[in-house]
Amino acid sequence: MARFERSIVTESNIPTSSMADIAFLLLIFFIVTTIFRIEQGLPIVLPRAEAGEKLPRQHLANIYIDLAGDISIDDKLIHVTDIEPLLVTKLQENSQLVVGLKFDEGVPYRTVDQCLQQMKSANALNTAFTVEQKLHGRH
Amino acid sequence: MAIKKKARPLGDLSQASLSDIAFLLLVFFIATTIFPTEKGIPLILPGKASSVAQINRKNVMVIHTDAAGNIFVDDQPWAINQLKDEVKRRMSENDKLVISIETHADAPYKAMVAVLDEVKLAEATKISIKMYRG
Repeated sequence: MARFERSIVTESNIPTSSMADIAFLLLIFFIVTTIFRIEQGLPIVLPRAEAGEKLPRQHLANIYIDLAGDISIDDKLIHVTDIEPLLVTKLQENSQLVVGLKFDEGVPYRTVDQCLQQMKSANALNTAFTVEQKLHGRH
Repeated sequence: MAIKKKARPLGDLSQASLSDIAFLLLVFFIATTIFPTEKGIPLILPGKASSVAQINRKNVMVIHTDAAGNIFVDDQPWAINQLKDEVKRRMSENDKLVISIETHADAPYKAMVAVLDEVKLAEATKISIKMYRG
């Protein structure tokens, strides 16, 4: 009687050549679908200065004031007296808070002073006047 | 007599280095991307809890700006481009010097920043800013 030999070697392999294609597909998918949260702010012209220093992005909270006197924090238009409670809650979340003051260069100093008073009473003392970098010696 | 055209095989494009090129581009763009960083003039405000210190008038240099943006050092009219040297000179004379930047309520914000910029460039550390009251 003839014996049938069983073929027991069943090699199975997963094709890995298309792995890179899948990786790139995923990469492209996530690049395309990622949306960064960008602060809109208000349209302002920053004053120019030479003594600007880099600001710590992760501790920064911006206050915008435009020429019309509108005040904006986190893209919400607010009244001057709302600055203090807003900064108090921000300080509770981040004790190293730096308040970036983005004021239009033509804003009267009266408004700036009101804002500074609010910051003092909120105890948000670490501030930075955000400026446009001016190259040395140019006016 | 008709000449038969030889059927040439199409040339193969090597795809082995395709991923090398992709990674090269990736590395190039990672290395050259610069995120916009914001620049600002830092200033620590005095808190409401801090006591009001009495300072001798001799140790105060008052730089005030009027509504039109004109600058005065201790009530003397001053040019903005000579301010830095004056602050430096005063500081070398008196190491306890406090610089008080006083700005008129109607003066534009940029006038105050211009003064603060010059004072900061003179490496002053004791700076006070407030509203100018005649």
